[in-house]
Amino acid sequence: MSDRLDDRLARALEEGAIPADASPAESEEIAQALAAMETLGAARLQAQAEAAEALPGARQRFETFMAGRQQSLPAEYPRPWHSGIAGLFRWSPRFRTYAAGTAALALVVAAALLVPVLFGRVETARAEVLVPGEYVQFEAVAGESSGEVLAAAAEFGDVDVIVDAETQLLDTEGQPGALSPGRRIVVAGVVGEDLRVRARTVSIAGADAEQPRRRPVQRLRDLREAIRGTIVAVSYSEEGEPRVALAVGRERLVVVAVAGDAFRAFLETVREPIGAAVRVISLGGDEGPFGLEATASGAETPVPGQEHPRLLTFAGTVTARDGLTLTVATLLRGEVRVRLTADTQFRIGDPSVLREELRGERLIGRLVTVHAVPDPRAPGVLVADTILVGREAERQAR
Amino acid sequence: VTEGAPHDEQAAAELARRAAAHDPLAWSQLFTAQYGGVYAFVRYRLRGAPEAEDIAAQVFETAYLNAHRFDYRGVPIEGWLIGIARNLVRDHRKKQRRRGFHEEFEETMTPPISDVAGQIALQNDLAAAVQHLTEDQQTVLSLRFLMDRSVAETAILMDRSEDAVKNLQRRALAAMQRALVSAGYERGSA
Repeated sequence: MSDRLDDRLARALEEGAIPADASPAESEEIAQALAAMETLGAARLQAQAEAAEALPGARQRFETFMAGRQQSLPAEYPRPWHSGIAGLFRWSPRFRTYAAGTAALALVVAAALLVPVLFGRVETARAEVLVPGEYVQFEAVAGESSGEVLAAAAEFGDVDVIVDAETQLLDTEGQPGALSPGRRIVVAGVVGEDLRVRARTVSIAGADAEQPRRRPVQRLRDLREAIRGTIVAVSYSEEGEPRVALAVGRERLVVVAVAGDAFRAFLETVREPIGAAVRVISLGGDEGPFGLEATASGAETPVPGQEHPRLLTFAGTVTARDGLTLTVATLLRGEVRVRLTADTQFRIGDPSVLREELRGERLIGRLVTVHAVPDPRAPGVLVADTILVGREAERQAR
Repeated sequence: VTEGAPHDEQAAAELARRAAAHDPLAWSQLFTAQYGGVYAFVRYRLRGAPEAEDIAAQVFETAYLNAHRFDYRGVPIEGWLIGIARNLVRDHRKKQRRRGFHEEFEETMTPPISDVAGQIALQNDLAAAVQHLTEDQQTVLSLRFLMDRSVAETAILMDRSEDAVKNLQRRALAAMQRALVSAGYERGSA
């Protein structure tokens, strides 16, 4: 019956009339659908007119956007020609042959001399660290703000950070703070499809900072050499898999996918991951999985003048729950009380946990990684921003 | 089939390949062909034309940034753009709801009682009615009647069977008409 009605309606929509063989009940429903279609038809005309009016401005915006991005893209395709002397050569086969030859030669030279530099292209570096949908925490230097968009300079590139009414701005005391260009900040938020970071918290350090050094980025695939560095970014995939970006000396950034358990264990040994000095350890062969170990300086307090902002990251085990407040047992901080709110985000690192179970008792006994800020109304309590839920703690001991 | 929307599989695959390599000419072609459709797709899910312009622009910017991720498997790049549009609209509305814009939106979209018998702006009625539909229902109506895609094209873009699209469009039209009537809008009264 339903299929028959679907087909008749489809026919009526094509022909604009109720099929003669439709029953009275079917005719009634089809008539209603045709009425709705008529409204949609009028809406389509209106939308088409608006789109036509908007098109020139929209095209200009998109061309400007493309031109800006083309600077950091490989030269596989020519950039758009607009005007000027270059435009005179646009259709010249001789010029194109010449240009192609020159480009090929330049490519060979670049390959021989500049391969390491290619790693340093800002777009590449940024894309290694920022992945749409991931939760990310990174340090940067605040730049100018335009509306809700804060330009932040990170070691892996320039990042547009969306700071809106939902973003908490905190100073080093965990109190509401104000952003100003030149301040060192730690941004925590979620990466959008456009690689902008929608900030959930921005922690503002007390002192101004130098502009970060831009370095080539490499992804760690095998550990054939000792790697020591300072963590400049931490991110979690939607499945809760952690990744860190390490500033290694003055030469490069290395992105390391860290095993979930190893990362939690590491977090139990440092006050904060961002800024911690670490070395990468292998948990298996040279090709991973990898873990992190804090070096002596990493476990110490941050460098004077760079007091760490009050977005706290720690790992532990949920030992109790009282309404919306969890008790998390940690090694460094002892028992920490963490309040869940409607805005708390969960990342589930254990596929056996269902999202709808998160607010129930199933959190007790689980290993968690918590990103939280102090609760201004309740000293000693933290408000959970993001919680990464891992497996049950007792299974770790096996 | 809309002008410029590639339905020849080879041409679509080639366009997708060039777009994935950030070929500016391919993107210019795509923009010209798809802007109107993307705009129409988002138009009645948002509060007004300025928001629709902004979100439509973001769709292309997001697609361009992530072009290297697009993997052509028989679904034209338009399907990918629609997917991005859906996500952006969803994020946008979620953000507005959190900020309390939802109530404001509902307020502006629901015509005052004194207007019911009089002139009711089509866009307000439609936008209000759309809020009563599921996301899939909104998508099928947008593709079929705002973007003028056939059942077969809609099925490809939504990754559904044609029968499923026919069923979905019937339910969506019925739900929308109910919403329009309950909002006081009846064909011919505007």
